[in-house]
Amino acid sequence: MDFNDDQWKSWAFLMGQIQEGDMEAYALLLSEISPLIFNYVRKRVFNPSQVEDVYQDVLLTFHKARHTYQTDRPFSPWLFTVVRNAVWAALSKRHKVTAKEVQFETLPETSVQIHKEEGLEDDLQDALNTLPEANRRAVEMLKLQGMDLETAAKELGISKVALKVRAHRGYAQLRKKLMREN
Amino acid sequence: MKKKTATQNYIKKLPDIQRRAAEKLLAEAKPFKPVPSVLKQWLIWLGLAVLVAGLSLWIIKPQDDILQKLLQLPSGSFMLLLFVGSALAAWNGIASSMPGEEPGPAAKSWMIGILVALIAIPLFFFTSDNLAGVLEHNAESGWFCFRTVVLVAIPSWVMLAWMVSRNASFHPGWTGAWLGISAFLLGTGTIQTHCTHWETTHILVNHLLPMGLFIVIPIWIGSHWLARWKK
Repeated sequence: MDFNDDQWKSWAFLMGQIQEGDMEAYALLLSEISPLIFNYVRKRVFNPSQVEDVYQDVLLTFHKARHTYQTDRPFSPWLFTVVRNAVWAALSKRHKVTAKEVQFETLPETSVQIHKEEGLEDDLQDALNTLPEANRRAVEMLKLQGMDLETAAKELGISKVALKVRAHRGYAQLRKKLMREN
Repeated sequence: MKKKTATQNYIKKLPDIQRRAAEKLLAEAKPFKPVPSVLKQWLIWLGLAVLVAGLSLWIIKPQDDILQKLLQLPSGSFMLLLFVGSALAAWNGIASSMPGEEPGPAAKSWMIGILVALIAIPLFFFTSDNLAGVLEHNAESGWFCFRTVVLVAIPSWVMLAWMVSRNASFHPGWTGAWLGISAFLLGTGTIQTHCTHWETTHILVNHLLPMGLFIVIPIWIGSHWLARWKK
């Protein structure tokens, strides 16, 4: 990722223009730094399925922090501080979600097996029907229809993280209901 | 219309993922005001700190022989370190909320050094007194000092945190801590200018302990309030 001084200076100049409300400068800057940020993220995120989400979070953080850039200061330390911290924050957020998800992920499958063995599919269906629509759809798509995260998220028009959260809530609610009934 | 086409032309060459993200940001972009530099924000803090400390001292009055105390080495350096420490912590707090300007190890070491000196000077150079005596006279004057430190620290922390909340801190708990140290040291400096008790335990308990006890509050508030820019 070798960029010469002129390149960084021109980006610093564009940041100044952006702060004056120039949207064209913002588009030009995004077109030039997006590949740089994307490559930075790709090198640090080892799970390929997370790269896109982390990249979007990082770019959004850049967008929200752009008012703190001082035009008389070099651009690269500012940009890399923002990007480095944003990658770290995005990864730790996902780590927390995944850690919770793993604990619950196996539970509905076990419940389905038990229900099948005992001929209690109706109970499961009843419990599923009581879940909020968004959580029920997430559980059905991932666990009953066996769809992968990406396809299911695309079909629902939401991000993978949002889908995971919905499914996780659904598993927890389902578990509570089934345990109460049994 | 022409401008819109130009912006789209720039980003249309990007791969799908990057283009979608860029389009989203461009659609959401609104005019904004850049925040002032660390130096400008610090100068604003300086003005506010002088105002808060000056107003407080106007109400509680400085001790009669304050000039004499300032010229003596232990008491003078103690006072100087209180205000310098407050100013340095305010600078570090503001800088820690500006990406790329975060305080480095040197700034942190200086701050630790100042805090250690602020405890060491009363311990080694001021008249010793005992805790029982301090607690006994607390009912009359000690709690007044304790309260004043907190009452000066609160507005100065709130004003500084309000200013810094416009920045973008990636470590809001740390930023809250820096601002808290600055505010409490300003409070201690103010009461030290007023209070005629230059005894070790009185200073440690009634002038410096408020910071030790309550520093967790600005850290906690900071970690929530100063992280709001991310949402």
